Amino acid sequence: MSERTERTIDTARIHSRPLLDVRGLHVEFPTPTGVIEAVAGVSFSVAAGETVAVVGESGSGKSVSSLAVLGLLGGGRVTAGSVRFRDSELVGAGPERLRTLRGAEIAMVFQNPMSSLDPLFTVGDQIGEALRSHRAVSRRDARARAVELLREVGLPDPQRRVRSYPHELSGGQQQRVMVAISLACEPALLIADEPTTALDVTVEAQILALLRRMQRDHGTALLFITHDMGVVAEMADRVLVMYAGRVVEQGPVAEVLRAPRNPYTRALIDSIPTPTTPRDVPMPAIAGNVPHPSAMPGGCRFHPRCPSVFDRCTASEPQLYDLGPGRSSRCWLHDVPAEVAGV
Amino acid sequence: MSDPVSGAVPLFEARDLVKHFRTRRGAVQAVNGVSLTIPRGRTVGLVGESGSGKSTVARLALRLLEPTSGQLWFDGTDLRRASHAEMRALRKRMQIVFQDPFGSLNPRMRVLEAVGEPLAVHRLARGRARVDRVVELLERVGLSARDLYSCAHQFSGGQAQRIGIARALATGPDLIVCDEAVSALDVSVQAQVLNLLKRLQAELGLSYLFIAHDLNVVRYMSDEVCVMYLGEIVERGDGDALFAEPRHPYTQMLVAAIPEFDALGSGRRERAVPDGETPSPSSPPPGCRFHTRCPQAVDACRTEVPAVHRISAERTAACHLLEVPSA
Amino acid sequence: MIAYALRRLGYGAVVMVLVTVFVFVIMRLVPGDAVALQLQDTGVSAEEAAAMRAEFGLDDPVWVQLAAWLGNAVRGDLGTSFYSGEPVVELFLARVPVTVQLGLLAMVVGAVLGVALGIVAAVTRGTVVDSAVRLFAVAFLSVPNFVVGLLLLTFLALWFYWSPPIVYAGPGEDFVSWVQQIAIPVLALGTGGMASIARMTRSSMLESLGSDYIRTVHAKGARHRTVIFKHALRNSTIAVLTLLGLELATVLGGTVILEQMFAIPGTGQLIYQAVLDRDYPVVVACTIFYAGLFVVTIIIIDLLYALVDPRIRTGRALS
Repeated sequence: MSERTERTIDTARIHSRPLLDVRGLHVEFPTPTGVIEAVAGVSFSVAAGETVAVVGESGSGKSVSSLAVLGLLGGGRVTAGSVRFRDSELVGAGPERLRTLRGAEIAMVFQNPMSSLDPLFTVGDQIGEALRSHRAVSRRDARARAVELLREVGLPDPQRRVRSYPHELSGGQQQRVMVAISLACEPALLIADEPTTALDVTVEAQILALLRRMQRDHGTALLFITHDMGVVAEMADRVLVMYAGRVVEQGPVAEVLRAPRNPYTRALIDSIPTPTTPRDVPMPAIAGNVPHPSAMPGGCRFHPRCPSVFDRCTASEPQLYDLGPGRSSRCWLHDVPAEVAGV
Repeated sequence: MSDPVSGAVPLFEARDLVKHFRTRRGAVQAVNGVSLTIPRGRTVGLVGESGSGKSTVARLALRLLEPTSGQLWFDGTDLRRASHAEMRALRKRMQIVFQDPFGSLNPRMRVLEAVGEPLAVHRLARGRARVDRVVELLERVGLSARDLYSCAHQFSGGQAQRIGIARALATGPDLIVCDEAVSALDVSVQAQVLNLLKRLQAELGLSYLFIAHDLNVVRYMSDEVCVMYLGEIVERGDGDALFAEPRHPYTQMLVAAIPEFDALGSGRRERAVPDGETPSPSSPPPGCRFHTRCPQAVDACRTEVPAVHRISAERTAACHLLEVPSA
Repeated sequence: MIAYALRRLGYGAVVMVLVTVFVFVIMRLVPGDAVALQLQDTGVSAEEAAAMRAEFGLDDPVWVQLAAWLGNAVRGDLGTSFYSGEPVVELFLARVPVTVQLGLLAMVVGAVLGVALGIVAAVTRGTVVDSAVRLFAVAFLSVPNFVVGLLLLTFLALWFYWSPPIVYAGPGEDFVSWVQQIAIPVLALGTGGMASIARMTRSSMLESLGSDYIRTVHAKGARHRTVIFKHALRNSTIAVLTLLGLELATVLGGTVILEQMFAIPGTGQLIYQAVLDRDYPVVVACTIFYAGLFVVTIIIIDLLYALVDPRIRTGRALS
């Protein structure tokens, strides 16, 4: 996988249209106390075969952005922006159009495998359902394909397992089943919403390896949502950092993680404990809390917590500045000479 | 076992703790012979995955659960022989902070009531004095008197956990058990709470039994790290040493499995993928409990339980391979 | 699964025994006895009354009477009616099918209508249709079944000049007449159940529809029909089954009054009269019949749970 360098991906992106192209996405949720905007103008794209990670904390809007692609928002609505998949617009598309895409061209894996599988149906039934929703396949053929898929995702004794119910499997096995379901129709894009957050770290390693192998074997693009920077480093070609409903930085993974340009990204990375974090000094923590959508600070959304804040930050919100090919960051620091910012 | 450094009686000591839960399907061996010593003012970390029994150990330590067998001492007092009245008095000195700050705070209680409840139960302060003490506690954890009359769910995760910590501090404890106290928090908030815990330790001379599944966090917080697998401690020692040179195959697997972004310079590292899954505690494998997943297992591992092998003054691990003298 | 079924049967047997003892004792504790009632208007002397009591065994202690009854019951002899002198078993068996038909029909009508309304309400949540269904449900929940029966009778008579036939004919004898006779009591008995099942189905479906696994089904690209009927509905079944079991109790209780009202010769009518007459053997037999019907239905429902939900079958806790 390391053979596929970022250069190749950039070339691919410049010369061909992206598989998924999200522009200016805004998503709102009605609540008893009013409407809150969970995603406030997010743009990103995923090229065929590449892995893009979306990283952020709670309230960043990372999950909502991905659910919006497939129209799985529940009570939420897309109020502005566009989501184009292979040049076809998904926002406002009819329910039948979305249905034909879901599971067939764009599949999703969710965070909690135990609650994401219907407890009343066997694993084989649920995999078969993914197939039979899109292809005219007999029950028997669907069952056979389910066994094949279970074998592919590394579940031991697939012939027997296909008749198991979700509660008879461990968390790791359930998540493998979810991956099998999502790959049933060989989708071009797989959206994984924190698929390993609820799993032990050793099981996580197995599931991530599985996803990478599936990508290699099927050429699937992966949109990976997580809060774990380490997972981003392992899995992704490019990363998007989100904060309070906006994208604050994006770029190739190695660049963003080694040399973050946005103060939030930098502070986030610094606040993560690593095997070499010095133990005798306090950890560099970000002060304050993530703002609630109903009480967003004026100006830059991060400014109350930003170590590099200066007066312009309180006045108005910065735009996303282009810092190179595929690299951008949302911060006033990119627009002022260093001396003025006092940095 | 007295503290080898100061010779003083350790604040907390557990020896050969065993807890078996009886269910309709047989016994679940949650904890199978765990021994720990927590010196005054120090932190002992317990790290493990699901099924390791670490949360059960947390509850056993405070006698929130009765051990099936084993001994417990708090500041020299034998906890298993303590009377009801003695335990009640001792409970003021040992407290716990839980994983889910919203789950462990009564949603109907205001902060004043929630933090003041231990003071009421132990009759430590009343009326005005209690309010003052609660404000003092809130300020110590980084909140303020303004928060007295709000309800727990009105706060963010990090703030709610601070309330939980304030509540734990109310009775002036010497030992606080942190049962995955930061696991449910966002990364940036986690760092804040870890800093708070360390600061409180320095200010108040607290001891912690710090339990988590994140090895990095446990290493940062602890003076001694104990790695648990299926109810047993398989390796213990200084966190840095454990990371740099893990001796037990499970520790090696755990360390290798952690996603690392330090190694970015050399391109993306394909880490060694661990084998299999943790067996159920209701039917642990015979011999060494880790042998079913161990890449280095030999015949002895399947039948004999490994003894605890002392690697150095502070390091021990329970593995047959360590007993074989290297050529 | 077998263990589960056997356990259920065992509990059922225990309940039956307890009910029998209970009913027996209670009836004896009620003031007045059959002899006193029968001889009310005749000028029979105290000795002759006492002699009658002795003949019926009414002056023996309660437990002696109970033991005697149990001994006979096991042999299929449920005693003879104090009132009419006929063997209870005969009285009884003639009426059982009538009540079972009535009760079963009421339950089925209630369940089918209730589930249908509940699905409609859940799927059209927040709209006028949803509110209408819920209002409808509350209305029927609030009105007792015999009042519904009376209202139906009254309005049908007033508006359509129609009333059901007076003489009862079984479905085998005169099907049309039977349907006409049984329609109103079935509706009266069933609408209460329909209302609560509609509400339960609605809330259960809504809970189901908001769950993670339904999101997965959507994400697979399954048809909307599949989401509602295959997944959401099936997951709501447990709650509805539970309610059905409880509804049975109301329906059975309702048969006592409604059969009397509509002159339907079922066990409800029998027990109504027998209680008034202090006709102990009949009362005991009827009560035990109702209890038995209830226990059997509950056992069937318990077994249906296991059929629907694999977690119950394998004995793990529901998460």
